[in-house]
Amino acid sequence: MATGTPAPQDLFSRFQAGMFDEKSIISVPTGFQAYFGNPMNGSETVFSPDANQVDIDIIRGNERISALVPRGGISRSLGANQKNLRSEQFSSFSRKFPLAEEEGDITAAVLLNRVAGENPYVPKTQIERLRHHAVKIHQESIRKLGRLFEVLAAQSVLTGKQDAILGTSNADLQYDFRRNSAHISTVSTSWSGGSADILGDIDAACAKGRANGHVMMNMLLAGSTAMTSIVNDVTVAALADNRRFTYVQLGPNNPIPPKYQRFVDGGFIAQGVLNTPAGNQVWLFTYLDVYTNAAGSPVKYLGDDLVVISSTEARCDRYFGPPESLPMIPARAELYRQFFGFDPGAIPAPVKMRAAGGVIDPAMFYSDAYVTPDWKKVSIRTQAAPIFATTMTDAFVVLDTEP
Amino acid sequence: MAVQGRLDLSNFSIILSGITLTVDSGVLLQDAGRSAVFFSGTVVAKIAATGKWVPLTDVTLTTGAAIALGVYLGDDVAAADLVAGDVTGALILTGGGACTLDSSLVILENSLTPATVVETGTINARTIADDLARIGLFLEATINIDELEN
Repeated sequence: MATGTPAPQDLFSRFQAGMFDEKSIISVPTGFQAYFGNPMNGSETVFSPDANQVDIDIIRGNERISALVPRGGISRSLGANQKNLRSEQFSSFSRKFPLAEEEGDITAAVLLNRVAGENPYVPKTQIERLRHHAVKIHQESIRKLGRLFEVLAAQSVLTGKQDAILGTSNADLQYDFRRNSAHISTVSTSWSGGSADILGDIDAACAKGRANGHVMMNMLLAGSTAMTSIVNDVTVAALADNRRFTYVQLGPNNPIPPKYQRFVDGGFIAQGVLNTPAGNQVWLFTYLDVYTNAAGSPVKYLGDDLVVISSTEARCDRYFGPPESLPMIPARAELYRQFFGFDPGAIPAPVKMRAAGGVIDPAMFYSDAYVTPDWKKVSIRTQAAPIFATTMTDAFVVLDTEP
Repeated sequence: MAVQGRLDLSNFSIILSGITLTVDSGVLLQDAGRSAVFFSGTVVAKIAATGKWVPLTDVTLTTGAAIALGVYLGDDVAAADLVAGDVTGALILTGGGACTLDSSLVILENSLTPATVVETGTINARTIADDLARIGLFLEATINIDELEN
């Protein structure tokens, strides 16, 4: 609310320039979210507007080989060589949806004041100002929720777990996607120290992911410090400079295969491709985007020392649960439309969502509004209930490269 | 209250193949000292004098209780039920025609194994698995094509 004494205009003539709102420039990255819901590898995106929990049955597999048996006479082997195939067993998980919520209020008093960018001598109407505030609140809610999604997706990739309450230390308030504990480890020798066997560590991680995750590792996502260590490593440099063998191809001249495009669209920065002498091939990416934490400090979604070795074949599902508000009946929807000028099911999304098609979907968000009985305030609320499940969780190997 | 629950489920059958011969009117002998659940799949012996069934726990007994003569297939029986008295209507697999059983689901109590020798040191020495084979029940190894989550 404007307070104090109104100030008369001085003698100078004026021109109102176009408003600059930095929020419209700030983009919301979705690099980690690109792992999830990728239809190319069978990942699922589930919208569940009415159920409290999402259940999934998981069957893990193995790669055993068939038996060879003697010809002649064998109808049924009771020996140890040929064992009877036994189906089926599975693990059933039930997860209660979390709830993320953003809320902002618009009061009748603020609607009498000039909004940013408004020419004071060509005033907007109160309903126009209401819609101006509403769009800003809606868009910022979506941006904040989008960043939360990215933090949660990063948690799932980096730890195999996701908080239901951010920052909790209570295991009961975490979704545990049951990653093999050996897949999250610290290397024995610091990568930045000059004496580490970086390619050996990468090969070992690829082997671990292949053995337990049952898919070939083909991506290496590195934090700043880890990527610097890779580039500075003498073995890597020697391979890159070798005229006969092009094991390492770093630089901008490597076209990204289409399967990695959704990650680049989401904010990953392609660095090139690395073929290790042991035979693994991984595309290298960095991810430098940040969000602002509760203390106001920038925090990288991917820690500088971390490396994630993974596969684009890994199925990672995402589930979006219901809001927590009374159903949006037509009367409320009509009030919403008349107040804000848009439908609660089609709220204005921020321009700068950096995401491949389908990574962000309007159906992930639920927006509503309610008016106080004195008809002086309207509250705008946006909710979401995301679970980012690294379903093939052993197809991820995370290394801390600075012990 | 946790946000996640887990249940590991299996849908296996102890009987893999062959013809099965069963009785559904078996009587499980009262065991006043029992403290453990009597599980389906337990190898049982028969008291010769009474015809009542008991879990095979000792291969040196001379009451008939030392010889595997069947496998209990009914629902798990609570210890208290056996403490209270005989349990009637027990489904017992008493023999088969080349019937193979999932060896991992066959239960032997008191640390016995299919290789435990009965009547050891005598001309009749044999294993518990041999006793089961004599009544047409053969133990077969299985391997899972499905694995549980970590």
